[in-house]
Amino acid sequence: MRLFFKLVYRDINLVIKGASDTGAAILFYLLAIIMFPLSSGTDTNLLTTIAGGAIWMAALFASLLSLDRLFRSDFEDGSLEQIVLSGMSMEIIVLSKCLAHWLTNGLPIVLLSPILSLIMGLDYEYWWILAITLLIGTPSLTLIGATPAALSCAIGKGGVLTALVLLPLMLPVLILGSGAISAEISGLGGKGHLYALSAIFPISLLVSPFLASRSIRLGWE
Amino acid sequence: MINKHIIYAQNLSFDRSGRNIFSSLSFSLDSSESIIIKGKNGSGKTSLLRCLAGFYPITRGKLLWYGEEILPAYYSEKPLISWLGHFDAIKGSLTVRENLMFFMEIWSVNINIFHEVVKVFSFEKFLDFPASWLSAGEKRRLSLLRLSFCPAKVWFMDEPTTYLDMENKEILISIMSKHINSGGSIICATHENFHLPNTKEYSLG
Repeated sequence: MRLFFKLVYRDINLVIKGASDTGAAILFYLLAIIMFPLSSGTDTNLLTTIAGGAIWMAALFASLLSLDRLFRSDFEDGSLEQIVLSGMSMEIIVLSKCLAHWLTNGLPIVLLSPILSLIMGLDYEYWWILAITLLIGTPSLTLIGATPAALSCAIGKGGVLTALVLLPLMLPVLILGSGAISAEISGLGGKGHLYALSAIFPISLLVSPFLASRSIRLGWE
Repeated sequence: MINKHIIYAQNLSFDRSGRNIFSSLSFSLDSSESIIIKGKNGSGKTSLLRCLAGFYPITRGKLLWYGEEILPAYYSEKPLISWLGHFDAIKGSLTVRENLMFFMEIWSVNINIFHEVVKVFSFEKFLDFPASWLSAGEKRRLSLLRLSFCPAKVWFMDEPTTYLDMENKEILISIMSKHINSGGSIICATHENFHLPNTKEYSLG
């Protein structure tokens, strides 16, 4: 457990020192949402309708950008081999990397969302449902993304390929997340969506460490 | 009898992508022993090290660590080997100290041992440099420094002399000898002629 947090701390430190794309991914998230109203006109009603979906799409792409390098730099410079030889199980390494990724990517996305909902013209009373869907959804995005990120190390290339594998896998989270917001706005209530969205998290938490660690080991073979 | 050996390998074979890399290797490694693996480029030295560590699955044969069917890459109690590979596992954006501190903490290394080793490699003045400022030879020395404070008894070294100058090769050989004399073991793939105590030499290919 002590090793787990050491690794989380190291990964966050690496993000702060600018060794990964995570900071840039957050800026991308901000910029994409700021640019969205500029490209779709001044119709406030239209913007309000699509605000939830647009913010969710931006969050998805921001996660995608940084997930691509979740394991890559440690895989390529041999750090991952050193860490797994240090008496840490691969599954724990995957989980700690996911936690570090969520703290530096998912959490800022959640924290920025109320401000961004203003930019998108989402009614003030609905900011909380947006924030809650992102809070529940982004950990699942990170966990679901871990396996394709690990696989991209195994085949030695990433970028667009990771995105192609990842996007379909993330669809349920996207549909439920943005669906909860529109259901809440339409007056139906988004609770059902929220429950289903929360169910994805434990499933991905149980499955993804095993799949991702197997994929990394495949990359070594 | 087998239980006494740190590594016991019997008839190890390894095929990769349909090509036989090595076959029917049998050897054992005990404490205070070293094995030097020699062979041409592409003869399978690195593959052998990676098989023994558990990164590559052996095709045939029997491989035991401490008499049990465990492998360092799958063992999560404590580090079984200290590994020096082709990749340096150094983060350029962190300082030398931060790079070392991370491994010190996950290996629970005493700070005194750390200072001692830093002195051996004369790395004191580099500690607060970003690791990206180091030259290739200095990075290799940093990897050696990390290798030598790892609590694991067995050192796996894959061409450790790469990028090193004559003076540092001497230091390398002296720390390797010291490690063997104090009860440790080494498996080293190299092209150099090392004079280590208590050594066995195997040729591949």
